[in-house]
Amino acid sequence: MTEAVRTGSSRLKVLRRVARTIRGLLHQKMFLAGIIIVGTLIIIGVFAPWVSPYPDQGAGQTANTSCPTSAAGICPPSWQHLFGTEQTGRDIMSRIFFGIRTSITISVLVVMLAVVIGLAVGLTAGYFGGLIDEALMRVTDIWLSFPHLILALVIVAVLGPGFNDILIALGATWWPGFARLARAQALEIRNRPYVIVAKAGGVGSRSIIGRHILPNAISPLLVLISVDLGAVILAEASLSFLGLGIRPPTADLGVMIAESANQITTAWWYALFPGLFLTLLVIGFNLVGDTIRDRLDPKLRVDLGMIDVGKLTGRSGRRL
Amino acid sequence: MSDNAELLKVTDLSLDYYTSQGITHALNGVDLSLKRSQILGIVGESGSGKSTLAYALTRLVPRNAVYRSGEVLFDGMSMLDLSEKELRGIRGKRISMVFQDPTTSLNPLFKVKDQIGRVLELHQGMSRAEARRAASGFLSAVELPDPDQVLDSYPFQLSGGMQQRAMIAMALSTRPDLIIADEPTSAVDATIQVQILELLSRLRREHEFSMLFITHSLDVVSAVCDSIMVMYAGNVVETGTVSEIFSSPKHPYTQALFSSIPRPRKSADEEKTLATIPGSPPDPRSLPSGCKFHPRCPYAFERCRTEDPAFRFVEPGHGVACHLY
Repeated sequence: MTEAVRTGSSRLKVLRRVARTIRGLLHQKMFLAGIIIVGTLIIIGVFAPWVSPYPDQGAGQTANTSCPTSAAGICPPSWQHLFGTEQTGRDIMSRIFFGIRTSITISVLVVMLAVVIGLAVGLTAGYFGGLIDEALMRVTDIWLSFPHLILALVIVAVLGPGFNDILIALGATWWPGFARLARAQALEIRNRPYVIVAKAGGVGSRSIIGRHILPNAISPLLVLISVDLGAVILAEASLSFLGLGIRPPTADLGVMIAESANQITTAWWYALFPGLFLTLLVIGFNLVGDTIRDRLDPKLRVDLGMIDVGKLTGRSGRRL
Repeated sequence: MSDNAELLKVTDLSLDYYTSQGITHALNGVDLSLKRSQILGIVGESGSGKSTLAYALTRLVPRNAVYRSGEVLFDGMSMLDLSEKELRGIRGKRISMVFQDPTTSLNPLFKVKDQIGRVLELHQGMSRAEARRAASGFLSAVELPDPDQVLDSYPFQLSGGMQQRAMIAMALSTRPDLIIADEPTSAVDATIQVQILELLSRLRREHEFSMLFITHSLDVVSAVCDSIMVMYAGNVVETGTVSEIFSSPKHPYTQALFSSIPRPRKSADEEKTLATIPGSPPDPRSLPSGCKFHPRCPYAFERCRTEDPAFRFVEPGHGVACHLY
């Protein structure tokens, strides 16, 4: 016997590999910036009731003390209200924090819904192929042919605005992208030898999709998930801006921006701060998504000089 | 069932691939018979249909493949008439396969124990712990040192030879009647190749399974097989025992294969050329008339161009499809 088992615990090795990937990512300033932005905003969102200076006002309670300088309740940033107040005298900073909470919640739920539908449709189509593929993908194409927002507008117009309805509207319009990506992955993976081995071993289709296709298809999906988290936030804000999304008194960045439009000449702070945080949120998710994509795309990795060629040859040398 | 009963009998099996460029005739009337505990080597060039035959037996062919004619009887069951569900009960349990490239035949995301164990859980109804114990036993049987370490490894942590041994252990684990090995040694280096061939010979004696051994190497055939089937352009051109075919190959194609084996030169002045078969295998979309080998055959005469030679036995157990005999 000339072969030797490599020593050391395999669990430790895998942990080390994951750690190396994460370390590699953290070395990139863009990823670091994205993670810091997203992380901070998620913490703010999750802990909105505790980090907001006026939690009740963020949750929709109208303030009873109005600003002395303005009858309408709008007052500029001060030490009491760092981002100022809006027309009903509520603290804008608290409203923004609660708005971030709304945005992230909706975004995560919508993407989860889209991933579940998209994977089910895409993996089934890609794995079975033939007529099933044709049928499922033509349906997907029809959904895809409508712009997200138009379709979501129609659905919201039918269902009426509200938290659950915006979830359904966006989730139902977001899945085709995941379906197409999952199908492309399934088409490629279903011909890999280990899938043929599983088939030759008498494993059923459902088990092959679940155990062999899905786990190996996941990494490009992660990229799409992280980029889409930002895009859904923007779409939700747009719907709310148009009055078809979240209804007051629930705090929402899109609603705040819409309300601020009337006072843009007199109350700059009302438009500025919600807009700023919305932008930050979307940029944060995009930075994270883009760097993960670059990292996972081997061709781009070499271009970016992220691959240590010596290390690479060292690794492939282990094989035999 | 007696020991020398036929385990696998294939009669007149023909299979086409429907592609956008036309119909490919991959198998043309293949006959095959395999007794219990026998190893049959299937030899041929790339594209001769030997791998297609392997997949066709268990109906693992791509969607665009169509069975034109024929019958596959495995232990009395007609494989082409079974339902997909019945087939799943046979694949992996009674007929196992070992594939060419061990480095991609294991799912990279699961440990070896999850992959071998899964086969045992699926087909033998074992619990997780039982499956692990059994898998460990089979890994020892394929001469892997420290089976428990291997079980807890991911495929990328094993060498190619170790991965192929693990694949063989997996194929063996359900105690199948038939193992179909599709070029199991062509992706590993020469020393590992010898080890794996020795291992297969030993396992066959101990576990008494039959095997179809697909390869393009005559050396490999002589090392493990009892008999040989030579394929050309989806046809069987010659069958016989290893000793008969090696001592007196009849078909011009078989003879040409033997003369193409590289040999050390006897003296320094001898020409440095390798013997080759002139021409290339025919396009399976438009096969030549008559004998499929006639355009490349040095002995071809008029009848070869028009009439497809029938398969006849020149000696008991040694058959050839050629007008010369």
